[in-house]
Amino acid sequence: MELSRRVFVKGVAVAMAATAAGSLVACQDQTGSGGGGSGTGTDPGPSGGGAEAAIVKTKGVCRFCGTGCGVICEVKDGKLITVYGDPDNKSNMGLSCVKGLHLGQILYGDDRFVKPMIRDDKNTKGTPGGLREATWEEALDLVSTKLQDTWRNDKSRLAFWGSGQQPITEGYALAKFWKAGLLCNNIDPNARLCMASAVVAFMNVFQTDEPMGSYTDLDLADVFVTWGANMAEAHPVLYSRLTARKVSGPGVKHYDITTLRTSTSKTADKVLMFRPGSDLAVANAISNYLIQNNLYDKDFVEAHVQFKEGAENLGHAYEDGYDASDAGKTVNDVTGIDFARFSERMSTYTLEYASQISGVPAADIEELAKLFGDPDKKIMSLWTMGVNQHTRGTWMNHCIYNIHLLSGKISKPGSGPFSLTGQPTACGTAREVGLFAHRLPADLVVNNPQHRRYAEAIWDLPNEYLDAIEAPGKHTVRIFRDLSKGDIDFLWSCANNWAVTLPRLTRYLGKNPEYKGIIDAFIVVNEPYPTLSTQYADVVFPAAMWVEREGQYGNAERRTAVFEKAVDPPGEAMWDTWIFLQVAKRVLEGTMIGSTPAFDHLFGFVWDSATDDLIADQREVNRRLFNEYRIFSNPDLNDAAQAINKDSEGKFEALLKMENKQLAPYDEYLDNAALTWPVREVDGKWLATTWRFAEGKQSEGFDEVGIEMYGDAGKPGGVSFYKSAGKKPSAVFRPYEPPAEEPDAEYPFWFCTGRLLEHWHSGSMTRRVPNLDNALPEALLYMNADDCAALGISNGDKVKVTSRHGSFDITATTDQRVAPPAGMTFAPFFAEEALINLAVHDYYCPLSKEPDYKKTCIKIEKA
Amino acid sequence: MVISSYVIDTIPEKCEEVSSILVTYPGVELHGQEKNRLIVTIEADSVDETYVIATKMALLDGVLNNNLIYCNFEDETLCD
Repeated sequence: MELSRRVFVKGVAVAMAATAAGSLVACQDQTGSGGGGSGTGTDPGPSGGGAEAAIVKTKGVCRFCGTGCGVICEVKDGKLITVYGDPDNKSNMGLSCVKGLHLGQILYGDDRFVKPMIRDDKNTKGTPGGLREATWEEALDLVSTKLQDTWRNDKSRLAFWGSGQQPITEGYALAKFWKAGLLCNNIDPNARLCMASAVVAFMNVFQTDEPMGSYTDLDLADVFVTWGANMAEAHPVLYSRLTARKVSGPGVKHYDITTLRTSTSKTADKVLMFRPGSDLAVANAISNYLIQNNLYDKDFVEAHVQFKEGAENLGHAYEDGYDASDAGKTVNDVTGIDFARFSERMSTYTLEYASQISGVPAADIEELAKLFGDPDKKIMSLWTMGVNQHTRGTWMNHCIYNIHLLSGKISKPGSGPFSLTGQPTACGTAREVGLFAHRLPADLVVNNPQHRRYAEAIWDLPNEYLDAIEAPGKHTVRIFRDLSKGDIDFLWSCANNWAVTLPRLTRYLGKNPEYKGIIDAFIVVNEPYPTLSTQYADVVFPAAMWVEREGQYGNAERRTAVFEKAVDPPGEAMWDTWIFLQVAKRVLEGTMIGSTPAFDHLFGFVWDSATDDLIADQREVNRRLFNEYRIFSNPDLNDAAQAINKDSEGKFEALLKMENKQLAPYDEYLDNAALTWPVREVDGKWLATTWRFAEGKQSEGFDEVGIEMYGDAGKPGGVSFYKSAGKKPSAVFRPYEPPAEEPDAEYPFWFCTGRLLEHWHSGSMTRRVPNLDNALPEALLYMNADDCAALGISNGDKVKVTSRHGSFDITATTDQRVAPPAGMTFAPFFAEEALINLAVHDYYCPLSKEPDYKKTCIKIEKA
Repeated sequence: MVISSYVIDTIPEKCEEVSSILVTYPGVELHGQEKNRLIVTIEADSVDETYVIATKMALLDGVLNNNLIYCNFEDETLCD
């Protein structure tokens, strides 16, 4: 680099950092708890104008975790040369975590798939070899023929496994192809493994998915409670906002409720260490304390909360037939009860009883309960996989909402329950466009006739056309259990690496002689890189990744953000939307909807008949797909849909109130990275909502338009939950029920799995970056030193871990990065050579069908 | 040459100590401080080398977070 250029670049780097540091300090100052930060006022601008005009700047969004950090990409000579945090993006305000250093490098690993690949000999499955290069025509025709054959033969034997990493428009096109084109509900996302419990609880409690608050609450809260969440490693940028708030306000407290000490515990004021699964008892004890001591917000409860209890003694999904069993069929049953009955049910959960079950000192639970009972404290609860990947995950979400509803600490700046997500667009795509086996776009579900009529109106389908998909399809665990038994003939996946991330891999990967279905099934994988999953693929489609195409992510705070195409994909790699629609075109050949060919009916608006191909301009394809998708949340754009939304003919039980998720036109997002839905048009401008259901001016982030449309002003707490039935969210009593397995003489240890900072999910991207790989080259089994001593295991010894479901070899460590108490162990899941999921069970929450990755029981032997 | 910048969050009482240590790292320069946040650049030969230094900074006692702000790697050959 020329010296002058070097000086210039460094100047930009410093200005960017000063601006970011200044804006964060300023952010604290606005809350009245900071002082002095000045910032520099420097406009860092792009890498240059004039002489640097060859540099093209585009907007991106980090493609790792669910935080949704905005980044700016700079491209020179077709190559990404700079990535930096976007100071205009309100989610990260210019910050990025250290993984962001490598966002450029993930595109340039030396083993990208650059041509379609086909496997001719199924006996080579599970090995690194066996794939040969093919033309797009051959691969598309082969996949389309196999899919069409299975579809015509028996739709229950095909499945798609989607992802919370597929951009919004791509997910929308895929959902429409699968649900309206193939009339098949066997499509489910990997979000089933991380967010399903949160989703089911949101729908049960509020009848609308996703948090009411936003990341802004991190800058305002007085107390943070992390429930089973290692934010310091899994959501570093949000954790930075949390710690910034903590150090700026002397009274700000952080309570970490966890089963093992993590990097997050290190900075907490108090760590409440509980026995796995007993968090339900701890949460209930807080609710009970509020009730027993008259510390709950009576006016708020009276105005806004209804009470329920539900089916109990659910047992566990040990057998494949659990969902259809007597217990499995009733898991969603609930009954309305009065507050007295709710209080009576809760009364079992005294501090002493919860302490006895959980091991958390009663005084610590009481200390936290008192804070919830203090009307002047703003409290934010944050949780992720510890709560969701739980055999009672939906219940545990309920228990947290119960506390916030009783205390009235919800939908208020600085106060609220906040469910974090783990993937860049688990919210925007998996949840919002309806990639789940039971869903349609925008929170609609297949088994509700009003919802089907609404989707038919927008997709211009004949009346009752979607009744064919009235019954929900197979959820993720069911898909892979069925695959292993030979009950799935065609499986297609995209943007995930299921052969590493699924639980119970000994069964699913056919390592057990009775489960060889994975070998016989025809498996298609869209991937940029070779992974363990592509080793089982019959066809691999080479996919464009991240900013090699234009797309959109929706993050955990309801923020929709567009990332622009910055560079071309390598070789013949193509974007996934093109791949899906090429296959759709072939598979739907000969199928009619009314008097038009089905493909033209569903996708004609993005198809160029002159070239007989997808419209070449990606921006235009995205714009058209998004603007059709947004009709779901803007019913006034479609008269037939609006009539159903308003139930104009009185045919249904309720108003749909689809505007509660209102999205702006696509082009609004190109210039504005701050649009958290519902986005409202006020005086010709599109304005975001920072706090759903909260009274106040729309221009200040409150839900003014929503409350005016459907809610009531002047209610206690200044909120109106207008989307909930009777405008009252549900507090549902959920008891403690024991985990699916508990340690015994044969399998004496708990085994918990998760992520660590350097690697993201299965490591298919981050492990290709030499230094991330060098920084954390090996997945280790974190053990308690006393346990190691008792077993004669030294730091660095190879051990064999065995559960009832499988075994794997791994290196043991007593390193304190993750410090489990006696009887508990932890390992991250990124490493295919230490394939921990061979031993992890697939028992799931009976309501959400999300597996519990945190509580398998194991034995450990020196290898 | 890879040039990158960071905002490092420190425990307030350890801020001075942290800044005195990290300026001894090769290629590291301290450019300012906003309360408990340090503004730092790293100049190194590669992204990988940058990462080693950035990680070392993140692991220092007293550091709460090391936030990457900007990274220019135009000299690094990523496409080979």
